Amino acid sequence: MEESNSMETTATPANQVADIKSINEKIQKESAFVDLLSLEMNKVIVGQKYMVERLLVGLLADGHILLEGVPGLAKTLAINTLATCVDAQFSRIQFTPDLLPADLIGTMIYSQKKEEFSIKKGPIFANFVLADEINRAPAKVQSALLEAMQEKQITIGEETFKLPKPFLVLATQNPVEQEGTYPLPEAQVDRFMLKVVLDYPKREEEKMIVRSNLAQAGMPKASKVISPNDIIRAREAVREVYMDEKIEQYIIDIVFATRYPQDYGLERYKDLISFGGSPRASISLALAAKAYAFIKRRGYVIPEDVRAICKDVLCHRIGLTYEAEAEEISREDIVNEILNAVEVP
Amino acid sequence: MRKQVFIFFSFMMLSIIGFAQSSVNDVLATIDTSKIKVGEQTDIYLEATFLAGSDIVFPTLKDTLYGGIEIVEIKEIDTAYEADVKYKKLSQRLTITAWDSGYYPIPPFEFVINGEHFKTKALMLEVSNVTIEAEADIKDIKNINETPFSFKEFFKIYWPYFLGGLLLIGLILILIYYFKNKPKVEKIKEIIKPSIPPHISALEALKQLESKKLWQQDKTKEYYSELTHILREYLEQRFEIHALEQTSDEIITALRFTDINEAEKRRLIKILMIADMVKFAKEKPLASENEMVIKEANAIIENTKLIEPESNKEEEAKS
Repeated sequence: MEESNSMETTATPANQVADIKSINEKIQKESAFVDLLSLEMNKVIVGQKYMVERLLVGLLADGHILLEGVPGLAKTLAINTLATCVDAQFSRIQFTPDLLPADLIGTMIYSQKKEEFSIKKGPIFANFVLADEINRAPAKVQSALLEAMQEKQITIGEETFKLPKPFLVLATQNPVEQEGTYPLPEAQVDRFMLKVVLDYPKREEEKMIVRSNLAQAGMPKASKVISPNDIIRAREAVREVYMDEKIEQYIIDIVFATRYPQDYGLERYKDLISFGGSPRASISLALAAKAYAFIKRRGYVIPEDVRAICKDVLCHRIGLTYEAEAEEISREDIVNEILNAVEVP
Repeated sequence: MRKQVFIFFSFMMLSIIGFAQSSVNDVLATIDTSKIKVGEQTDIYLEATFLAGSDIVFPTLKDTLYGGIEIVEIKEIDTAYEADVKYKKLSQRLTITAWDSGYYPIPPFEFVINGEHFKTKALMLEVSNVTIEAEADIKDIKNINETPFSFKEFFKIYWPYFLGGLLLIGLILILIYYFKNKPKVEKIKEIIKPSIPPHISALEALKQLESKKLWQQDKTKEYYSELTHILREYLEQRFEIHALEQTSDEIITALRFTDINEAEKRRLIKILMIADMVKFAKEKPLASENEMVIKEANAIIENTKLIEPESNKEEEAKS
């Protein structure tokens, strides 16, 4: 009986438990806007729930997103709507072969009247930047953008400018036309936290899209629901989401399985993967899983969060050998197999 | 006068002997036809008749004769003896052609017999163009002439394959004969020890987990990790789902397609939910909850275990 009492005592919340409870409560409070934001976005964007969810993950985890999908899947509309909902600045840059880094980041203009150089900031100085068809511009422009993404600051002449916060780049790639494009090098692709591959909407969803576009009252308009400051605060909360050591181990196992598949019973993939995920992949996966848990209004990460976001984080970070291409094995197939082979904690 | 008659007769005799000797060594060149069309072929025959035992050198021939006459083929020199065995006759055939129209003089062929040079007569070859019917319709190219199939020729080309095929058939027949007449070895029955049923090993593992008293030592996380691992292993073996590599939600979804009843599924969901909270959210359940989960896990295993029919057991015992 005594023992039983002592057991009850050990079961009472300790400091750690109190911590996790407070985190949970904080996340519940801070993430209240997520549903509101999703609802507002869904008013305009029909049938792209997956993309909207990943946009929020990128926004909350402070990671940039590479979107791949055929034209007309509401990529521009989605980021425009997000910018409206967050009351942030939005700019769109159409990447073309003749684009120059100065067209992107800005340049110094000589004023004859003042007899001095003045700085003209480029379209990258916005909260949300849509880099449309990023693979159409040459490498120097791509690297100028990717450098800005990484450093979050721009140097024009001798002056350095911080980019506004929050700063989210959403780059798009068209998978259909590859002629005359400059594919992003692997090292550059790694800088995108997520690569989201978009698919066509379902039949019913498309019917809704047509109906809302042809409505008498016009397309529904999104309205401001949160401020950029709320996003910055939410980002801080995301970092506080509790991630157990078991989850960390699970993430490491998944990333290591992309590098050494033979250690996880996937000998077949040893010759199909030329390079696996980098440590940046592990960091991104952990952060994205935290953001996903935040969206699901949880103060702790569970394996479901890791699995839900895993493909978007890892697929573009795995290099395939020509054998894999010959066998028509995609990066998605490999990540799926890895998820099916790594033991869940 | 007598002297003059003698000189005349002597001269006559020498002329007759000379003539006789020159007719013995005779060379000749003849042509099959002296008129051909462009690209058509004709033969030239070279013949030399001489006393047997004489040294003879045939004319040296290259790939062309005079002008544009091409030698297509030079046959071997053929030997024949005249009725009188004293004389020998050598002959050679040349096949020639020309690709331009015109008149082609063929110069004499020079033979050397016993160091003496003999020349044949010159020949003439007339090569004419093919007459084109300018007003006639353009005709299609003729089809390739098909030669009749000859097994002999076919065999001549492909005999290694025939031989290989025969050898292969022979080898197959030998192997069939060998395996048919091979002395039969009686198969030794391998006694396979029946593997432990999943429910027995799972119940045993739960018993061991209980005896470790982990949660009593404040190792609640380890306790729940081991408990869910035992349950997952059992589900994987019992229901053939990849429970070890699936999340709690995925396990529940996968169990939808099995014969597990709703009550057991609800029990399982409850355990997995508490375990997830303990493992990933630092949750500290009450002692009663810790005791309850192991009881519930035992109950799930007991209620879902696969019962083998009695007849199977009897058969196993007999064997």
